[in-house]
Amino acid sequence: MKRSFFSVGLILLLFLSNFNPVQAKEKVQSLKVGITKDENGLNPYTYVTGYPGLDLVNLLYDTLFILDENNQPEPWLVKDYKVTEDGLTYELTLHDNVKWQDGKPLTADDVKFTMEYFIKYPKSRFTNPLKTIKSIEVSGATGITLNLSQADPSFMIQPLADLPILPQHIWSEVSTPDDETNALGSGPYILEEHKSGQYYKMKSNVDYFKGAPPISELIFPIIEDTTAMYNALQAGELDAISSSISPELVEQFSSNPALKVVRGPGYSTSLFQINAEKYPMTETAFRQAIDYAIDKENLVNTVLLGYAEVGSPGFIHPSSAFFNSDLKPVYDKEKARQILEDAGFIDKDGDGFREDQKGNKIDLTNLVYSGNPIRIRTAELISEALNEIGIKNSVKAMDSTTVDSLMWPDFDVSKGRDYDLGVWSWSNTMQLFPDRMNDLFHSDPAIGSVNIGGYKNPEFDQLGEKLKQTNDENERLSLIKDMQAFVASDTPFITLYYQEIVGAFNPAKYDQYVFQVGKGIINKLSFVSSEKSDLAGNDQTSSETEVSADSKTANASSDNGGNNTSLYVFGLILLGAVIGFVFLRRKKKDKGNDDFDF
Amino acid sequence: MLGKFIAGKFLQYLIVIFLMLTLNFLLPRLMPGNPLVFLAGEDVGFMSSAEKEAILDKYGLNDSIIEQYGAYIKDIFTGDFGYSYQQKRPISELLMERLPWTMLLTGLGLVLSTIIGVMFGAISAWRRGTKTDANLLTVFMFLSAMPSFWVGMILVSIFSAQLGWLPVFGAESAWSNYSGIDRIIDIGKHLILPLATLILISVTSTFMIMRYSMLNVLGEDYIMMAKAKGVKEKVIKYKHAMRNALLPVATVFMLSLGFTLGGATVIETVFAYPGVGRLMFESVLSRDYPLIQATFLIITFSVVIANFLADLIYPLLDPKVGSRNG
Repeated sequence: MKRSFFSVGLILLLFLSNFNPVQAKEKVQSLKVGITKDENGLNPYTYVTGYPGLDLVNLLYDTLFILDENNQPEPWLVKDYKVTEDGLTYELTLHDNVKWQDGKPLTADDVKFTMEYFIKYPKSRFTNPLKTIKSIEVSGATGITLNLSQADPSFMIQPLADLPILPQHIWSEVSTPDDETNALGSGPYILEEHKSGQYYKMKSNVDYFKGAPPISELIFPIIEDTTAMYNALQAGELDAISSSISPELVEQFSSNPALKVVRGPGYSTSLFQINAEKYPMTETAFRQAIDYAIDKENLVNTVLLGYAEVGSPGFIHPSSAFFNSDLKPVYDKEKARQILEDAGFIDKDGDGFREDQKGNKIDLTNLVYSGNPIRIRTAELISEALNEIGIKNSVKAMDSTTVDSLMWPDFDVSKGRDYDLGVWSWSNTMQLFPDRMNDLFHSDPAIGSVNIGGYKNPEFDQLGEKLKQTNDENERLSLIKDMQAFVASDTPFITLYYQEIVGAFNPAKYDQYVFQVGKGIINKLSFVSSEKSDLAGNDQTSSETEVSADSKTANASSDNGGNNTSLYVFGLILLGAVIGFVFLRRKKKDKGNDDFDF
Repeated sequence: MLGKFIAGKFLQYLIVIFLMLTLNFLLPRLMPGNPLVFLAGEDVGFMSSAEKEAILDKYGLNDSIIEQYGAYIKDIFTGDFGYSYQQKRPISELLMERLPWTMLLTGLGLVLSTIIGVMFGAISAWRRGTKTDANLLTVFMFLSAMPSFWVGMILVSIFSAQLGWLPVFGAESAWSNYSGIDRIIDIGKHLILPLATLILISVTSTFMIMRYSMLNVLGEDYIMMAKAKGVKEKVIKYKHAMRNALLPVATVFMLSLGFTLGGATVIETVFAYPGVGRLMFESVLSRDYPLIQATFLIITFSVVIANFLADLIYPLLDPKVGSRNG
């Protein structure tokens, strides 16, 4: 009898489990997402990295607007908004049912407080964009009006979609925000535990104003070694990872039936940085020759196995609305040689390398981060290409902090620089704002704050000044296109490629991830339930392409899997051989010699 | 007499400690680069010079090197390691979190690899010149030639990724709130692979030392004498030979004991094990001066103390040493 009850129970369970998948999509018990670094306290003052650190912060806090998967600002805490035509006044109305995680209501006063707090205690990412605000008026619990001293075309992105709103009742008593550990916000998840170097644990905020989030418990284990992280995902110990999968492993991952791989454009921009302040790199012809010598497409195909987009010579990513599509990457070794000949860089002593215009030998060093295999391969290929056109140079790989201290001492371009060439990369925020062209190339360190090549050209500066004073969208667009064209011909540095982001996750556990262009699947949109249907619909039409199992890559991937298995087999055979060898010889010996034979 | 011996040694060690403290202070500052990016965060490039200066001021990095050195020495003698730049938490707290894991991993690794090394070293020496000896030598040389990260990754890909028997990372599934025996089993499971890696790569040195030391002892006249007397093989092996051969092993053990607190950086990184070695590695990468100082200090101090202990224990283990001095 007992047994039959048991089987009835089992059958019932089976039925229930049939229904479960439907529910599972709405409510996931626990999800483990691997991250590579400890991010310290997860509040806007203490997090460490822009990605995924700030994305974790954004799970705990809310912003007034949010960037959608194509990085367009959409209202979030804000219900309605109005912008005057001159772009100087923003009238915002907040949702009226927003609560802090301790139950107190979030009001317009908190917003005003936050903006004033960040001005009082600067945190440059959040503080600088707030500086255009002239005055803030609060009306009622949800109304707020921002008056700007000058129109700011990216005001909706930064600060409005970037600035996490702080609870006044907690932060009004904080006077040393850099040491503050409190991380209570209004966001969809509540920070429950942080074990330094081990993991973060968040639980869902069921009272969230956009509805309870879909995951009850979010765990972010910290695994610094990316190989270990990949292994953990393959072994099913993680359900998703924050880091992009390196190109050579993509096929292996997509051949794993338990995992889903999504790829899309990345905004991190890899470039070949030139110290434009140091002779002979001061010569435009010399820089142009370098540009012509480098085969960017080959880099994308051989180093990144196609998981990247070839760099536009004007720096700005082709998916940006400000992209100048007239510009095409160049590659022509003969032309590179010709340019050098014409400019007087000629090999006079016949050693195979060119001397400079005064006849002195050239021997350049090409710096690269030692911790980044992709960059090292890139540097090697470029170095070879330059040697081929007669520019003597060699690659020097050093740890990132050391390279930084040579190329960008004290992270202050006014403090000079001590290098020739280097493989460099700017993070994705650089592509979000076209105005950053000024930061990259303007000769005044106060404006060109990341002009690490020390590039100086009054013509470019003029364009930059003009851009700063222009509010009209069309005029701005044409100016930014001009700037790209200028940069393409004057080559202060060479944009190599934009590496794609390849994310992987276990769809059986949770599959409502949203691929945000330039960032990947670990972002706030992936972990909130509201408007999910809308986003899922967009998903299909967004530029994301899924690596499908039946495509050509899948064939290659099975080969790849074979390679991998053969590696294990090889290892096992090797071990077996050693052990067998020992045992065989021992047996023989046991029959023969005496133990006392010494 | 023994007191004078200890006092002399003590003075020696004081000088060594002072030199180490100073080096410990200078080395991180001699490295190129500075901790600014880790203090200021990702958008350091968009900060004004004044903002950057304010940060450096706040952490005392604009003080003269002498002032910084003074503060450092003062902190050490007050037992205050200060705050980590990067983690913004008291360093003593960080160390207390990491030390138990490191001690579990490296301590157990040292004990086990010593036992295994001694056993096989003795066998190898006892059967010197036989095929067993040659085979053992081959195997141990093979093991010592393997890089630790490679061994670790191979073990992970076989036992975790392919077979799924053991966890890939971490020291425990801390978020699952195991308690009691479950927690111990969980910790044990997480320990197996890193421990195995550690033993595989470190066992050879003990093996080699034990083998050569045992060979020396076996060449002594008293062994010949014992054999001639017809003493049982086992007695010669364990009582006469092995016990005497253990002396150099004990020295090496004591020295390694000093290093255990430093953790096993590579293995801890490969297995995401929250030990001191990883902490040290991170601190160097991020130029987290106070944390670099604290972690290096722990290692240097424990090495010095282990040396000191070895000096003290040696006369007890080998009366010949004591009598020479006393």
